[in-house]
Amino acid sequence: MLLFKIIKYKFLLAVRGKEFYIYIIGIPLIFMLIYGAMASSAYSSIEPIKIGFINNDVPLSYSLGNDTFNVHFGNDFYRYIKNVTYENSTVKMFEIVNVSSSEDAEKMAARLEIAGAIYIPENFSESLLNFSKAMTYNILMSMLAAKANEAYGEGNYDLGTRYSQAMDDISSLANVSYRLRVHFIGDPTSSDAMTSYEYLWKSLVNFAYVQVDLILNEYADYLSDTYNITINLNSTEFSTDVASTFSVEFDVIGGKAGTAKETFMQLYFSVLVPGQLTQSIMFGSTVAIYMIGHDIERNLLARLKLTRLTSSEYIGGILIAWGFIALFQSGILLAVAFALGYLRTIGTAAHIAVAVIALALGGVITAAFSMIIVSFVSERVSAPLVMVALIPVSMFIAGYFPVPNPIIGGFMGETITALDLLPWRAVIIAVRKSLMLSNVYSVAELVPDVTILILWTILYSVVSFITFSTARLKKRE
Amino acid sequence: MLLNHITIGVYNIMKKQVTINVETVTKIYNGGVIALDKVSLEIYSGEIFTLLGPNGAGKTTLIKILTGELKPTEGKVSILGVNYEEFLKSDIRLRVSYVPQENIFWENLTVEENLDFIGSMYKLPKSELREKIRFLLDEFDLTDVRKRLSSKLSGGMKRKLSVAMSLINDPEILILDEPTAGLDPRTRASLITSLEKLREFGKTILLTTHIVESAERISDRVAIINKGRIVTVDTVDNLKQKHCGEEVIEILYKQLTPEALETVKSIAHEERIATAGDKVIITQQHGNVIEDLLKIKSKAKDILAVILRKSTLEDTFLFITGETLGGSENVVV
Repeated sequence: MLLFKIIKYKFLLAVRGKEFYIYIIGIPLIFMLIYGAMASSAYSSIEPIKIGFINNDVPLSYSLGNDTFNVHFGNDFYRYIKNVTYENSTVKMFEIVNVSSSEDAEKMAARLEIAGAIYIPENFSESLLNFSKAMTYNILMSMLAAKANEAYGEGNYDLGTRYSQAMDDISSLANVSYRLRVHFIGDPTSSDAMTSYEYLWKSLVNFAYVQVDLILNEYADYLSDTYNITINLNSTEFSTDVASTFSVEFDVIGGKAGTAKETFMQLYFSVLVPGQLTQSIMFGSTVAIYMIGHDIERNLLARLKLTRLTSSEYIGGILIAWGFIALFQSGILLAVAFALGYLRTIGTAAHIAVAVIALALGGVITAAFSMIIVSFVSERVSAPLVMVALIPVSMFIAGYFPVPNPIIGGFMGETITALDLLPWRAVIIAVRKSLMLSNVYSVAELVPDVTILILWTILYSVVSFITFSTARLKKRE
Repeated sequence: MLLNHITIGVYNIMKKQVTINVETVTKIYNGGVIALDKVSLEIYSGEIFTLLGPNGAGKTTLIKILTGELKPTEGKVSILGVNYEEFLKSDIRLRVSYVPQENIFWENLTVEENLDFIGSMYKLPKSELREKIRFLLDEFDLTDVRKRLSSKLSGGMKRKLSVAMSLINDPEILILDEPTAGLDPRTRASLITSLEKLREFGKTILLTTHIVESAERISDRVAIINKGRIVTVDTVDNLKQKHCGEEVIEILYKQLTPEALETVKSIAHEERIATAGDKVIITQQHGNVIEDLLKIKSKAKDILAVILRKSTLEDTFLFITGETLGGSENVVV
């Protein structure tokens, strides 16, 4: 069948050309290596990241003997996080913006006014206090028990009894439950959001340990004074299972909440790898324009008009071929990403199928875009121009750099912003969710993204068919 | 297949059927450049018809009109009885093939893949396509390089591949734009031989060239085109006979001066004289002037040579248009 032959030969023509390896493999690969190296050595940006802070924490108090202590850990955490600095730097990590509600935070994040927002739930103080009490109990109980045994062993029953009374006094601390949970609201395709999310994890753990230390010391002082015993906390070390104790939920804007359990590196690469794949597919425009232009300039197109080839076979063949070309180039880049350790999350077969569809549709969109351009401008002018234009555009689409991105509407529960008008944005989102965040998104949740992508593909294909067949296949000067 | 072609060829020649008809075609490009000015031609089936003219004469424009790429501003064109407006929509287009000036193939495909790709576009049955590919590879000496990428072929091989690709659909009419341009003499001769074979197969071949040797050797009829106008159409022999005669005298000067030209004129009498650079060409149609010219050679030190030689189409073009095919300004008396 002719269509298959066109697909086969257009594919071979693309992948046998040196342009393919320079523009659409080489350049994205260099970007990937540079960004990967930056991520491996240090965080790439040392500018404060603008984030929102929504504090719904309810203050509470607790008694220790005759003393009452008031706590409002949400406020303390706000002050704490405000002063967090980049590692090995005095530059503050965050510029905090007050945001009144989650809805406002979502809107601001979608417009890229903020990278995301920290949401402190009502039970934050209660959970952290309980966690601190539980840690205090664990540490002090083992210490007091050892001291009591030691006193009894030496025949000092009075001292042994006082240690035992101290143990009884704190036994109520054992019966507390805790799970320290905060939320981060943001767009997971933004590297700033991912960096903020990672630092939020670290900050939460550090802040919680500081509070534990404070409360532990308060209890130690109280027991020492009350029971006239000695408690030496100087060499005390404590640890807990972070994963079961702390939880930072990533609330994806416009989507359902999920807990991203990746490490920072994985999250970074979940921005980087799909970003580079999409960039590579976008750069395919240059080669597509060159190839289509070659057919025009060399009079091949005029020659082909004398054959049985129809416009739909020619255009359709090129569009489908570019779907395969996109998969081929993605395969190469993914293999490199895998070899470098950038790819760790493997989703289900259905997730992988969605990623394959998204990447292939990205290739089709690229070819359609190229045909639209070549319909109006010669390839000698358009190929370099498109290349120069697509480098920054691909960076914006990938979310490497924030640009104003006003919300322009909604679709199937998804927020549509100005950047979403660039069809490759749909590719990167679908690839990211299906390939890199498959543990966050179910395949069903990817339906809106894939639907948007299919609509874009249809629109671009139809426009390319109309423009190219009118301007290049049917027009006679 | 070969017998078929020959049969068709003989039949067509006998009938002298008009395959391409161009009637008072004018083409004016945007900006007012007149590329063709009331051009009329009839091309018969089974003949090799050459459009001979310098670069910019309008040859390629005419070919682009014939292949449906350009619209004539005025006039009528029909190919195998179909009007140019209907040409690309009708199946007649499948009986015409075209080789533009540029080598027309996909450089990153092998020779065989190129033939397969273009053949597929004619939706030929698989076995027929395979057979045609084998035949064309053999016919154009491309069998040994069939697995080679086209970009790696020599210039001559590339040209052969372009022509071979144009024959995959077994066309009745083959249109070639400057097929021998840029080829070394050996490859040119080989290509001309291939085209002669195609004539034997009954193909109608329309070619453009500014290379006289090619046109002279191969053409049944030649149309001389200059500045968008068809100046004359005839067989090679008739053209030469009519405008130059069998032989011409060529006098080569160190530097041709008006005085020297006047001297030649006085000797040549009724003969036609044309100049091309420092050369003077004189016809021999009204008597023998060579002896008189040889006499002046012994007196004039600036004459390098006086040569009596067979006339060529280049001479014909010069006498008709006053220009060489290279385009320099000349004088015809």
